[in-house]
Amino acid sequence: MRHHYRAAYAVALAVLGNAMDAEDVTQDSFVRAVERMDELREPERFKGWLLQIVRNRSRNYRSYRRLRTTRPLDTVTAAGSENPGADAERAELRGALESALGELSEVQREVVLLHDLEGWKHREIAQSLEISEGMSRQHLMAARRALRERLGGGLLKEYSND
Amino acid sequence: MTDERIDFSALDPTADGDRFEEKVERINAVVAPALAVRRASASVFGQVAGWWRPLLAAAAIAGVVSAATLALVEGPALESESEIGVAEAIGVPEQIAQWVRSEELPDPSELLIALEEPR
Repeated sequence: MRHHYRAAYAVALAVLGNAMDAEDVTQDSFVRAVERMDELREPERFKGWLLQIVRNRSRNYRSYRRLRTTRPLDTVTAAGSENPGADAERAELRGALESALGELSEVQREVVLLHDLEGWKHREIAQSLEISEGMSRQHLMAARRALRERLGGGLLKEYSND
Repeated sequence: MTDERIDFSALDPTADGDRFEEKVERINAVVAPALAVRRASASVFGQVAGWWRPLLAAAAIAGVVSAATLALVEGPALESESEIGVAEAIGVPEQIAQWVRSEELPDPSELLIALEEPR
């Protein structure tokens, strides 16, 4: 579960655009996957199967959320922190990232999150999303460009190129 | 530049190790009953799957040996008893049934006596 958690979360976040909801749906999807394990005919395809469950449940949750006027109480509450300043800064950056991600298409979000958050290669992303590797590269470049325009250099700390 | 990674660490659910472990524990607690059922089920079916071929082979051999033995030792007696049983069941006197099987023609007096015997 630890091995696949971040990829599952990235997919949920790409669909939902909200970190808290993405975590809830990710956890729910793991439970669902265990319950439906008998339906998995090819164990070597577990990752793709799991991510499809996450994708479907995220879309269902998104439709459900649109119909609701209030959000449910979050099951995960932030514990008291020893560094409230850093937490506030982190929360601000998280909000800015979520907002900027919201400007992208779903497929752009999924590509950029799987690549830059989870570290997948274009080959894996292309296989998971059933697109070509070239298309995956295009989505990644477009997503990064849009995020940088939206966020500016001040909020973004860039890693060295892979 | 669009060839450099975006830093998503603020959104990384594993960045806070303690909080991530809490999440993992919570999921494990929820799926534990389902996993236990699956393990038990897999264990029973696994044992059956491992033994069904030799058990089936042994049962087949035992069946063939039993059938052959019965056919050799008790076959004719059973057939005879069976024929007498059927004749009696439909009301034919035993003596007449024996004449039919032996294809001998009885005397009229013997036939009369046989027919008059109580069934």
